[in-house]
Amino acid sequence: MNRSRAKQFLPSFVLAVVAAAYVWIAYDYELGSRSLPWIAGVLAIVLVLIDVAVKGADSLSRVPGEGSADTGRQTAEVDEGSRPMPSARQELAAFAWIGAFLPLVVVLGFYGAIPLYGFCYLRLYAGKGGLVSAATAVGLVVCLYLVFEVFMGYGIFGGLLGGDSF
Amino acid sequence: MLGVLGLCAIAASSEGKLIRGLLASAFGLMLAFVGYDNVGGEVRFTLGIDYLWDGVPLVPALIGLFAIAQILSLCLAGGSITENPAAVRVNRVGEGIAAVFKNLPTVLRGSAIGAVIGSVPGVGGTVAAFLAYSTTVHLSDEPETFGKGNVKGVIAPEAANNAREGGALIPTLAFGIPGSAEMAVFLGLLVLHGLQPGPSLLINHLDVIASLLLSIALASVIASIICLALARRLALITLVDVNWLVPVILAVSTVGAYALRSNLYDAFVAVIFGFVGYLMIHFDYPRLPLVIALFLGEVVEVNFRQTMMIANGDWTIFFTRELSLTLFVLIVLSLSVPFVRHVRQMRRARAEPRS
Repeated sequence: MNRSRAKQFLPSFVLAVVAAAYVWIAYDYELGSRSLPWIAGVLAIVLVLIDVAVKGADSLSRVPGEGSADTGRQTAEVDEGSRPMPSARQELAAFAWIGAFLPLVVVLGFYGAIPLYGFCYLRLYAGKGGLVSAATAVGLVVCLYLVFEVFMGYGIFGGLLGGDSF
Repeated sequence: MLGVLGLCAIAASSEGKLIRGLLASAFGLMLAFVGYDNVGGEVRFTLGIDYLWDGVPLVPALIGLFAIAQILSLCLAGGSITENPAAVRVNRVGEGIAAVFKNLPTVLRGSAIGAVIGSVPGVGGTVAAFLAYSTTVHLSDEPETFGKGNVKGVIAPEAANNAREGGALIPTLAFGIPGSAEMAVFLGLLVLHGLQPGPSLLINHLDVIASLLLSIALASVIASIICLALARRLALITLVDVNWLVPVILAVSTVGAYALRSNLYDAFVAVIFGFVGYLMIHFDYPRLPLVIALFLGEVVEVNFRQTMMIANGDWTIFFTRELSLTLFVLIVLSLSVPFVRHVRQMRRARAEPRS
């Protein structure tokens, strides 16, 4: 099995493992509490197997090197037009950039994290000018403050450094 | 049964992805069963995390699956959403309005579905829009055009969405049973003004009922005018470099997820579901069935277990009562539609070379 085919079956494998673990955990609960979770879990496993069978039949019917059946669909879903699929490294970097926002929020709170993150993202990731990045980041936090605190009256998390706990 | 019908119809309307739509529904149900069991009182699948006792919160999950997953896609794609300024010109507004009148059967069908589903307490309107959409897709001769500019795909769910409020008023006013959270608030306001919901309200205060119906109709018209006025300016956002949008959408999404319950874990849930949503886009799994299942899971389970208690554990109750049997037949029909459509397409494809 080549690498692209392994990648094609990876999500099905992960879903099957998750569903199997779910069904296994469900056995610990009383009959009433586990009945529907058990049905949903078993149904998920059956559907994963059907999906794998369909993908398997599809990939066997293709000439090696022709590409998987999914490739075209993925491109169409993620980006309209003819933009290339991002590499795994690019995807991990994007995940890291999005994920990095939350630790900042925990430490600095939303009003500290938003301008800092906004500036860093625009300057370092997007390569925008320093002044315009700073102005955008500050403008964004002012807008959010006005909308959430002033107009809607929500109290927004101030961060561990600000004395808030969650 | 109605909840299961909604799930099957939505999964079936995922063009060419029935199995994956059902799979997403199954995982949505699995997530919906996380937390405190409302009937048995047991805590399930929380992995020792206290936060999950209340279950997976719907709104942060929704924000993650759609908003944050989308900004991940944008972040990786770069550029702007559309490169062509001509493509974002909001024109042919009159044509759009005329399309509503040209497709009156779609409007009426969507409205009927919205009113009927909206009148069922608990299930409410979320299903209505998607059921109206999937019904329209199923009945269409060109199902492949939905999601690619077929105006009926907008008209049907919007008609259902608007009609559901009228439908939700039926149990609220007639029996004092609110069909949704909004109706519960509305019910409280009626009581606050000295009006007791129930049959007597319909008999003695028809003037209030009439003004309510007119208000709903008028509100829809006013909202449409405001949206049309803003549409031209909002459409220009698609020309902006997406890198400007990423921090904005991320900040608004996470603050929004947090603000609903003032719980920072909700922001974490939104981001986690954002990653899940991106992976679903990447591996070509529809996200909508997962969200709907997450929403309907609790309703389905509570009603299922109540039914089983009433029937003393006899499963045949789902097939012996007229209403449940009808719903079961509709479930089978909704699942068979993609196969029927596939067979029709195959026949058409065979017939075309001959002609």
